Amino acid sequence: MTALVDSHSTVLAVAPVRTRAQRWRRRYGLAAAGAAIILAWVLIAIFAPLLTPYHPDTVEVTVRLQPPSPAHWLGTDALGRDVLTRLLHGARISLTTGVVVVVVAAVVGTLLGGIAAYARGRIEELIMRLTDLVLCFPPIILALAIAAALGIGTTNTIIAMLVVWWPKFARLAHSLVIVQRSQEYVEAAMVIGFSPARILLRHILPNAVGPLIVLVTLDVGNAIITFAGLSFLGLGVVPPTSEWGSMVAEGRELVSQWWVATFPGVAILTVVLGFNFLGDGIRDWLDPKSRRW
Amino acid sequence: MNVAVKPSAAGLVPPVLEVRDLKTQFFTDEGVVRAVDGVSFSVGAGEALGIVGESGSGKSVTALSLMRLLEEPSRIAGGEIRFQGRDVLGADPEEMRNLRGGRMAMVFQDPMTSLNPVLRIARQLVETMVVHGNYTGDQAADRAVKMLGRMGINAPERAIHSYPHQFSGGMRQRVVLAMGMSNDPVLLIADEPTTALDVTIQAQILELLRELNRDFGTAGRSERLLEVRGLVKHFPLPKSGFFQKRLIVHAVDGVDLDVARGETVGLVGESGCGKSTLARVLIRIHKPDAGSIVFEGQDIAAASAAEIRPLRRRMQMVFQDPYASLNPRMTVADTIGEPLRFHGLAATAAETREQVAELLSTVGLNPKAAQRYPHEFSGGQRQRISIARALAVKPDFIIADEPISALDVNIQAQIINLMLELQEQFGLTYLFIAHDLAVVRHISDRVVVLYLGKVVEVARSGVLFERPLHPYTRYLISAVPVPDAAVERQRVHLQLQGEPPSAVDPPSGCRFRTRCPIAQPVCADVPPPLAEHEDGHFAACHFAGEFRPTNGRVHAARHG
Repeated sequence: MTALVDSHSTVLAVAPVRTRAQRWRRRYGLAAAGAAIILAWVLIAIFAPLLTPYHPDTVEVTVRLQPPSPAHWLGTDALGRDVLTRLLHGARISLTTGVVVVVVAAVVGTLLGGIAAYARGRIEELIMRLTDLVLCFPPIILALAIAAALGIGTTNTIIAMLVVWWPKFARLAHSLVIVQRSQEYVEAAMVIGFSPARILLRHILPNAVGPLIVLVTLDVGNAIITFAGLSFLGLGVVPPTSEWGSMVAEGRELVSQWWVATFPGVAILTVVLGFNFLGDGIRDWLDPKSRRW
Repeated sequence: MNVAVKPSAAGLVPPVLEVRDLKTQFFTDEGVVRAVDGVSFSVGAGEALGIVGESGSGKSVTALSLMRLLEEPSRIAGGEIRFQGRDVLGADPEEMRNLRGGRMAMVFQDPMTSLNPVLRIARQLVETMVVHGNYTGDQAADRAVKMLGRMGINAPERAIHSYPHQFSGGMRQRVVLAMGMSNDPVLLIADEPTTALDVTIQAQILELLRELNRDFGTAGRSERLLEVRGLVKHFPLPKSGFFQKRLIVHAVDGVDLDVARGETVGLVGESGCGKSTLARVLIRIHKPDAGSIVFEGQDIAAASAAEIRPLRRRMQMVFQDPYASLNPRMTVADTIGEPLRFHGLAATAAETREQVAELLSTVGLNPKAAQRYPHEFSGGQRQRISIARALAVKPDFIIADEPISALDVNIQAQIINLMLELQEQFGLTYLFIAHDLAVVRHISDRVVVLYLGKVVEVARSGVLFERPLHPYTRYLISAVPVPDAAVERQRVHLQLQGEPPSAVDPPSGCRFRTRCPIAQPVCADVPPPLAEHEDGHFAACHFAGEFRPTNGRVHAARHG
């Protein structure tokens, strides 16, 4: 009888056997799905003109506010423009602004935060209090104010977003570099006589870059939403240009013509989800403790 | 032991031997051969100076020049040799004979030829002593037996009546050493005393030389490499509130320290006593708040990063944690190769690769390890990589901050042995930080004891462990286990009570007084100066040497 119990428990103790494919899906599935979504949108953005017969800005008043049909798969807006065409072209602006804002902010923020953490003293105080100052304001309100002051336009909106975007990277880089700088390999580099810039760029940052990459990926979705939000509020792109946020804004009072606002919203949703999946996947991959087996 | 010259830690004594611009030339038929061409060095008391170079580089000629043992056609063409302040080159033959074999002795390369084969050992030894008039025949005979025993020759009473050919090479070299030491020389010149011997005997002879240097205080070389005075490093803590006073950690608080070239100085003390901070200030990872750090004659205490950069090559550091001291994102080749390229020691990628491979084999690793990352190695292997990185720039001075405390015991021994071998090979000077006193005792020439940021005792290693003067040192030593279980049971084990006081608010007067069993009121008022109590033995205690517990008494006193 004991033998029976023993063999039983042995069977239970064994972990569920997974095939290689199952393990791969479990570990990388989500990230791969995210990457696939992003890749699809990137391809759409590049080949947008080839994908539809219409031009995104052609006004055709005779077919205004048509519901989805074989001719216009996602219907038309108040000016008779094809929603699908505008949606596909809009991917260009949304993706570029999102990536540009986050990458530039990440580089600037990381350098400033890194310098602050490495230099200590007054330079650190100066840089970190400046980040605190920016972080004091709700980001979208501050960006709104700056964009409004600079005037409408994609470039101005990007500048406004950069101003509010870099401090979070500076904060993160600051804390990551502080952790690394007390490590003995950094002291060893000092003892060799390397310059501070070389120690920071070649020794410390490569060891601190993991969480920054995660933040970058997760944040692209955020930036896309914010840009869309600013466009929705009338900043961002100049009117005829198709952009998801402004498309939602155009459809916000057309309650019965639901397709005008809904489809751009779904587009935003998928892109943001894609970046979030990818970001989560990269975080798991870089952090062995949260790795799935 | 009669110590002819006092080894001095404070070392204001002039060097025993000073050689300036020495030129020795051979006047051959083919013209003048400049064998020694403008050599300068000095040897302080108690120091061992190594002269290295390939065959034919002039090592032996230098040694012979020092004793003026040159024969035609060689001549000393210029320069100055001063031995204990006296001009050797100007001395008349009579004076020279007195010096040679007296206060200045030499051990030659080949033990087979440096003893007279037709005379018994006894006669050769006694003659040396009697000739210099320091001993009568009977005294000399007596002393000869003792010297042989001291050199590790079994049954010296019998051995002394043998002829040289009855001894092996190693034994013969011991006899030559005994002869060299017989008149208590101040300077012992050893001209490749081990090349003619096999390796195991080599090691024994070198160890013997080292011991002799320690015990007799005979100079074999050196100048001071590092001189530290009044070094202070305070770390302000962040304020706990806006109106609160800023608290300051007195990590290093007025430290004096000397390190002679080629010596190993052990730095010991409890965790938190400021050992690591001191190391990092010395190597200028941190900037000191006060004091001077003179490295090779240059004060680097206040020097800028650019001013220190050329000196970085000369002093390196080996760190405690082999898991943190190597950049995890760099291959071993990059970790070791980067300093080489940075300091211009290797010009091309191929040259770098070659030198990295050579360094790896020097520290006992397979050169193939170069392409791998630190995480692929064990702790001991990583520490070897760390040592290779320090060696890459060919330093003179290495600060080792507890290099073995993170390693397994059996690996510890390997790393220690590696460090000792490298010291031998490259003539390195070590500042060895540890809390393991057994290790420190094993490898250090001198030991510095630190307590709460202050030096409390400095002494030659053997002296410190035999006759500690400061009560704190006594506690530290008492905590070292002895391998012999019987001895271990018999030993007095002193337990230091309480935690070390905070370095934020160190006790007034003597910092150790709060835990000191012999503290008196004066200790709270007057900080004891670091005073020299015997030659080279310094202690900062008002009652130095007065704490001498015996087994029962201490326990009674402490618990009753």
